[in-house]
Amino acid sequence: MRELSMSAAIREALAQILQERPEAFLIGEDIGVYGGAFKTTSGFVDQFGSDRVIDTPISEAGFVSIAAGAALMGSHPIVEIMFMDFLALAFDGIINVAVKWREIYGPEYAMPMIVRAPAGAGRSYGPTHSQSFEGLLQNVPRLTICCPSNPADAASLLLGAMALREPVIFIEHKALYARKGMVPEILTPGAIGRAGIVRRGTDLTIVAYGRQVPIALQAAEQLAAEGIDCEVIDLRTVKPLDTEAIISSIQRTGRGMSLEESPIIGGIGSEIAAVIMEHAFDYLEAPFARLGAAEQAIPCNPKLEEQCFPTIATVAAKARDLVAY
Amino acid sequence: MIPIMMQSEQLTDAYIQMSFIRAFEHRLNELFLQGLIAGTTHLCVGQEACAVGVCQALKAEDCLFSNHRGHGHLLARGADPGRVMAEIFGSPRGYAGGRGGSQHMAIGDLNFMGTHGITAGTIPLAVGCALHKKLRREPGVAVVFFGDGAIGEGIFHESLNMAAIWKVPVLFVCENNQYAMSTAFRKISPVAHVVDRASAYNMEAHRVDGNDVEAVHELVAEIRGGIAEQPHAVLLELDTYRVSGHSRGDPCVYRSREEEAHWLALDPLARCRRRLEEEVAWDDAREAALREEIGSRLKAAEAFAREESY
Repeated sequence: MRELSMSAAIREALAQILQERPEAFLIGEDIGVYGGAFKTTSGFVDQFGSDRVIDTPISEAGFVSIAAGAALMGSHPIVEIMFMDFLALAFDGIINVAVKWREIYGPEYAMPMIVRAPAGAGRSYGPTHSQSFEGLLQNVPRLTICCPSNPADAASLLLGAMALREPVIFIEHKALYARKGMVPEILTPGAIGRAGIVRRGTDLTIVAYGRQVPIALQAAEQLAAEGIDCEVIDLRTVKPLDTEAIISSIQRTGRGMSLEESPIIGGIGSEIAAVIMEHAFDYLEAPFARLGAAEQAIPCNPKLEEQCFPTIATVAAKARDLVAY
Repeated sequence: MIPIMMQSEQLTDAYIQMSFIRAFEHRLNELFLQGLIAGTTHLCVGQEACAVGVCQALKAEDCLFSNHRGHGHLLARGADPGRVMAEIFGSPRGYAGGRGGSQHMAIGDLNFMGTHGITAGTIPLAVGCALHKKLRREPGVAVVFFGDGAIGEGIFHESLNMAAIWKVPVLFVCENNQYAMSTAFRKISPVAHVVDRASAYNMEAHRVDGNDVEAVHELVAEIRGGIAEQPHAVLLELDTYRVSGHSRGDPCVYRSREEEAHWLALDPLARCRRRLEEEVAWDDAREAALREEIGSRLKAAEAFAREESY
């Protein structure tokens, strides 16, 4: 094991893919000489050449669908969307093409591709450079969505997404890029659709992913001092959702809440709440709670921005409410 | 460059295919009007020379993409009419097992990579296909059919732009049938022709009479040869006319009967037949024999399509 930042772990996984898989190539804006807006592809164009690291014009709709066309032929493109907000321009290629061809025509028409999308707030990038679309995208049938919370998971999920040979949205939280964590010497593909229990507890389940996982863990530490013992689940992939992990945890704790950075209405937490209603209703000792992005545009001002999302304080307060219910 | 001339056997074959496509579309229309087929359909009556002229000039390793109006392209590429019709009937025997219907079919064996219901949606797929061919050094050209309506989509610009800067082997075939559903081309384009846009991409472009199957075939054969020799992108505009309405139940109130008569005089089948009369002494007896053969092929296709259902 060694310590790496999440961006370094992603960079290493991408390099490994390019080395091992001749059918893989990277495509996106400013990923070549510039090395990507978040430097996850720095040095790649020299190492792998401009045929494997393809700089594009600012044409998200075009290059997402172009990647799908190449995938149909046997390539395995890894697309970088500079900010997830820009993926709104490319929904057609995801929704009407990438997930559809295989569905309509069969497995030989699969479009294996990974769309990497730096998402999330916390850096004062404002309303159009801070959004998280996993809530929106979970509504697309057969679309896989990964949301790693740490360097080791980022690398293993990236390799797992490659092995899946399906269209995958790979969400990288911008505020996590610099965060360090222990990563195995040899990177191996992780299971897609499998959550992890990152803290064992008996009183309350907090279901989180991405940047919300460290927030949940810190809130849990604070609550432990007060005698509230939280279990924290890191979803790793929000679709497919590991419903089994969620249900069995709620069956043990009887109380739960979800944390997310996409808006609450129709979000990941809504889906989790529905799953619990369907499968663990009898075990609930308090209503399930959803914490997520406020119903508004994400402000640029750091203080206003922070107020839009769950914080250690709001998570802890909600936990106290649930335990006291 | 030596001009590529169409052989008389090819011309005869083109006429047979065009006649079959038209009969297929007419029969489909009857079936729809009788309520025997669900959903909608977009017929290519009047545009048969585009499909046949282009497909005949392509090679097996070329990959094709089409659009919502794709029956003609599929049949011209060699699709089994029974399976095309089965798909339209929603049968498990169809090319997409009945899931796709009239607008969604793909045939891997023919390198037919898919028709599609989103206007302009297959244009970037063809660019991606061509990019793959270039990166992996695979032979062949990517070819995509789209209508004049597709040029209103932003992705038309993005696709042509990237195809041009990357010099990928792709042929963009715009069948300008003058109408995007009900909206006339002159209302949606400040320039007179689709090819006028090619200069923005520094792209090779050609415009030809899309109702003249010989002209289409010869030009596409030449373009295809050029792309195969030195990969690059080409925009081709075929002037044609959608004789049928946009889709089932279109009364065509947006165009005049005079205009329809003008284009009827340019009918690709009638013109091809006149050429055949000159070239191979095509006569009424051969025409009658062809009609009979087409009738029995269509009957067989329909029987196949209707025999099995969910």
